[in-house]
Amino acid sequence: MEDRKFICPCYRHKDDIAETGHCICHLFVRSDYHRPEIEGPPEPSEGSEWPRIVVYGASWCKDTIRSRRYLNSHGVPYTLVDVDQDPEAARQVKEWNQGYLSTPTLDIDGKIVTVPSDKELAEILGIEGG
Amino acid sequence: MDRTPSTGKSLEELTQRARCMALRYAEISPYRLNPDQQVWEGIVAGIGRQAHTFGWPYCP
Repeated sequence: MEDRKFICPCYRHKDDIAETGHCICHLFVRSDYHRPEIEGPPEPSEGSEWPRIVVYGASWCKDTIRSRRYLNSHGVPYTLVDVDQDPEAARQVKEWNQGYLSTPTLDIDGKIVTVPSDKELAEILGIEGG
Repeated sequence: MDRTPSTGKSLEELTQRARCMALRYAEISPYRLNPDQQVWEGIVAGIGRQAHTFGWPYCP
């Protein structure tokens, strides 16, 4: 079914670029755009009790960036897999998500979580205060 | 009946079509492509996948 307003460039790109400097997926940007900076995953500390987390994401995906920032801000270590660079990982993500390459998809000690909100991550990881 | 213009086209062809759209829109609009080529190529690949899956090049 065609949903024309979501066809790229989508219906909201002009407003988004005017407001934030980039469209929602960061494909089109304003001339003064600066790439969002994000640090790598935190190092696991000795005796860390965090579950084993693998984040299957994409460098351009805003939800991947959001989830990574959330994990980083709480010092939660994880392994990052870029599905655009790893065809086998992309195949696995599609298998988990009924054929959709949804990012981020997180493997948290074997529990598969697709595009979680920060609140959902807090609940799964037992982080108080969200 | 749904109109799905991309039916039958390969993922590579649809990704190339999305790439052409992005480059052309960056020429004719006041905007430019993301300065990181790896990022915009990744987004273009996502648009190609959307067209391949849904028949239309939706925002990924």
